[in-house]
Amino acid sequence: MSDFDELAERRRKNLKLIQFNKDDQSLVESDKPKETFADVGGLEDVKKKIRMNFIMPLKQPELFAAYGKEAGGSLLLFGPPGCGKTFLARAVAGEIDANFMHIELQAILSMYAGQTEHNLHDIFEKARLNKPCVIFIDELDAMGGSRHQMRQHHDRMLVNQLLLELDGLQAQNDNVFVIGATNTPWYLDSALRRPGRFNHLVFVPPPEETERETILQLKLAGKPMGSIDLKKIAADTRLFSGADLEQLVQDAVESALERMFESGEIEPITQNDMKNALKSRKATTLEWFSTARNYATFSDVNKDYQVILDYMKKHGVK
Amino acid sequence: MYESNDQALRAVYQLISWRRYKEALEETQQLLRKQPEDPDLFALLGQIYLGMSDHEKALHWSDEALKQDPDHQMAWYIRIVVYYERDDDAAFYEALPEAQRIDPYETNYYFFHANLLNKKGKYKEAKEKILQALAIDSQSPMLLAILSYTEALLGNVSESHRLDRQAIQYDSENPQLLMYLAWAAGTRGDYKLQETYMRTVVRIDPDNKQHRDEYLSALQQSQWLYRAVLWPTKFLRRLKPWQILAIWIVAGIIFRPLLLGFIVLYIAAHWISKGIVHVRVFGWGRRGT
Repeated sequence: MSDFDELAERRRKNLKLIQFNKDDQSLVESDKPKETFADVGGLEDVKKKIRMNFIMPLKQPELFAAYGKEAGGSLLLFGPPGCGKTFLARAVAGEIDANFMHIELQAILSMYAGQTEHNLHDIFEKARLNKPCVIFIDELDAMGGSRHQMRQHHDRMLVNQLLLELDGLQAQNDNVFVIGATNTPWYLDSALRRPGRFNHLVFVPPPEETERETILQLKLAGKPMGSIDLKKIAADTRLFSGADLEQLVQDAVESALERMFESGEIEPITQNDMKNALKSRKATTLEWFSTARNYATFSDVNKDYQVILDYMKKHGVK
Repeated sequence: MYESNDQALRAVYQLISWRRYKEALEETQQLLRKQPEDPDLFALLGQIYLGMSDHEKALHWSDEALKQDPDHQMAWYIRIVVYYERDDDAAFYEALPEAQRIDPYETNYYFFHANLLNKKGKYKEAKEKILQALAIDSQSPMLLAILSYTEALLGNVSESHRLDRQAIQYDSENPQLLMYLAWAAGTRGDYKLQETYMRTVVRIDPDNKQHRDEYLSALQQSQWLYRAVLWPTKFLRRLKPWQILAIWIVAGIIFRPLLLGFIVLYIAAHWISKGIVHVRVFGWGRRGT
């Protein structure tokens, strides 16, 4: 291992994951997860786009500056639920060796519910103290929903504050990066999409067939298994999200458990268990695509969601 | 956990406003564990189920709230909305007097009532109801919009137009309000304005099927070919049903070829304009909504 690698490894070990704790309404620190892009199965196009627009300009700013591209900005991941947006955000943090601050719905909700001591400014300040830091705002639509639809003054204040903090990032903070994730990008305030804010929009689609096979393998790993044709199951689970596949495996495990209670012996999970589980499940992403198509067709003035229509056409989503 | 019930309630209302009903249900159920007989929480559950369009459960929790407090305003409101949305007119009319006795200043009750009357063609009675509501809240853009529509149905074009301007000054981003103004514009024969309003409606909320269908219909009506063929219906709309039937019979006897020609032209105009709209919105080779 070279000195540089050793230094990077030591730095990586000191990195932190800062998360909101629902029970005592505070920000807590824990060890940073070690995911990188290598741990993200598939999503090659998505990873390439993030590398080109987000990671490379940070690692080699001078090269990109020659083409007039600046490092930074913020990244917005959108797509159906359960397709790995959170995992991808963690991997981005891993790729740039940064602390990772995970802001979930409960943390955002606590800001609305009146715990002013956990306001947005504190979170950004904490990130600035822990540079380099990626702030990952899950369910961004809850925090940055359209101001027009917000009737209450205090609702709008949080969006305005977020805009202020994002602009602050550009003006005075280096090495603080913001990644947002949402299932409903159409609810976001349009001001969040201006340059310097969430200007890199990345669609995270459901896993492809080979990715589904890998996910199924991972979910079944360590469990008693009979002979299962995962290729076949992967082919039959078109548009299933990672979460859907996990549910499928859970259903199959339950069938095997039932048999075990009857026979009193360890019963392996069989192809039949998987097939039966598949009969009672359908891709939850279908509902998302149906909504997304409506927004892409009727409401997409800037053609941001053309990628969804293209995806649907390519995969024959009706 | 939240420090107080107030904070937890605020979180529930916030979740409802984000349409995150599942999470709102979880938070409310946690509150209910602490106060298992609180009619406000029962009504809140009813409100959440109403948002989820689960009318059965909404009614159930409204009933539970009313068992604890027979005069619970929100519980009565939920009942009225459920009956209205289900098109259960008999139950609606039975519950309305009690709901209005408990909450006489709720203008939505007048709004729902006026809508039902408009549907039945009782425009004058509908107008009366809206005017009663406007006496309570004279600046409600929603009431002004439905009044604009009702005036248009009554043939009072200039009054409908004046109310349209007034409503839009107060609110130009509420899809429901804009849809009423679109209907009013369409009834006045202002198809361009109707299309403009419906385009905004569908941009704000394209996931609502009614909004999409109404927008496509507005686009179709703005086609000159369709409008030209539709022109006689503007005149026919003012007549009573028996008068229309008599005209059809007379026309059928005297001008049969002309009548058949009109029917063919009408059907052709309908499908050609529908096809043009489809290609404009969805492009070639894509299915519609």
